[in-house]
Amino acid sequence: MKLLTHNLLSSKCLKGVKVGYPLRIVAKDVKISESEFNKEFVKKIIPKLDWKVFVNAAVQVRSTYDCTNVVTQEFNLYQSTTILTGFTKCLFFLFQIGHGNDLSDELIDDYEDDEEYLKKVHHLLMEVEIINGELICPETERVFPISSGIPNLLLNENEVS
Amino acid sequence: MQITNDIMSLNEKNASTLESQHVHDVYENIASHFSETRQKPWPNVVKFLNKSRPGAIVLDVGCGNAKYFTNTTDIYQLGCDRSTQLAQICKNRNHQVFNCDCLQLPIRSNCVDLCISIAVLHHLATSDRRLKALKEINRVLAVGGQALVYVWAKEQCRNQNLSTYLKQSKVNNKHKPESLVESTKEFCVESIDVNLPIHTNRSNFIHNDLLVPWKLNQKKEQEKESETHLRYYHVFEECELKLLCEQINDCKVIDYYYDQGNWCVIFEKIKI
Repeated sequence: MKLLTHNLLSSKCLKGVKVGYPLRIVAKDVKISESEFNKEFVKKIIPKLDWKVFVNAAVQVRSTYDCTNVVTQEFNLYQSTTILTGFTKCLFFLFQIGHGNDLSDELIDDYEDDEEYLKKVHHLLMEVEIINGELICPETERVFPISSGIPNLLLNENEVS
Repeated sequence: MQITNDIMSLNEKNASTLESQHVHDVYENIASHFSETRQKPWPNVVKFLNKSRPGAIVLDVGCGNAKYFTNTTDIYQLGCDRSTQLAQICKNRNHQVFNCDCLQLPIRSNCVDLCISIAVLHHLATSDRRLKALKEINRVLAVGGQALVYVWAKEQCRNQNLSTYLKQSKVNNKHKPESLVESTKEFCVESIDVNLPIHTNRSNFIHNDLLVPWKLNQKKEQEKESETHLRYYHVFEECELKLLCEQINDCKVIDYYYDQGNWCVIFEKIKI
């Protein structure tokens, strides 16, 4: 589950829940996969995000998973494929999050022209994937598991309003 | 055109039980075989998806094996499916997917730009549930966002032309369309004490609610006979899908057409 997916998910469908957003993240296994940076895509997607939720989600991933658990690197056709590059990027991610180099929870005004900023957003939005973990309803504490990268938000019969 | 009197009416609990046994359990059992037979995207669905603009959030409700996902980086493609087996196939193809029921979409309102739901709603056993699924899709659409829904049509032969479904039978191609009538075997769904007709594959539909057999391909090593699973379907009459959409306040029907044995609607979320 990427952080862009998390930004869209809600537990409002649960009986008795008024808002159900955002879901809290507990990250157990995280994968960093390089994916092609598409500047137009990132520019257009930013206004659709709940920005604070996105920034906070990245912080939650950092604070809940054990850094030593970062798993495999994946390379797609668009990237140069030396293992060292991938490993370095992984270390950079850990360095970033370890040193609190987070995005501020106020979106900068001129993000459209700031390529470095857009790349940072791209990295957190599209390249961080929670493989195993949990999503937790903020009102009922109901736990929705994430396994093999797939969140399971199927409700039990008694949870349907 | 009126809806016929052949309406099966179930309460919520029985509808849910029927779907659980004759839709959800079946797909979990047949997932990989099903996926093998569902590889070719339908052109009109692809045409709808090509309307997407850069940065679009595109949701596939009942995405199955990710048939309609592409490798583009211009848009964000997200799928959901009730079947954990099918969702896994989707994930193995590196797509974003989650498990949920189409009646309770765990997605915040007003955020999806394009949505498709292909061959899903005809597995819901009451018209209330089918309406609810359409309302859920409309709810998650952004104002101006559009959805495309395909459901199996009761009418498989229009204007003397056989649908692809009927044409797949060699027998059908020899006979005149009117003569393609199904024989009526019935199956008792014991858990809800309802009898449903079993459809003869590749024949015209007589009933609106029925069970369609799926013969599971067995591997050569297995000695027992191939299993047959019965999938529940509600097939739609000519105006039925459109009439359901028209019951939704903040939804406007943009297009309505028949495509190879399916009734298809494109609707848009509007501001009221």
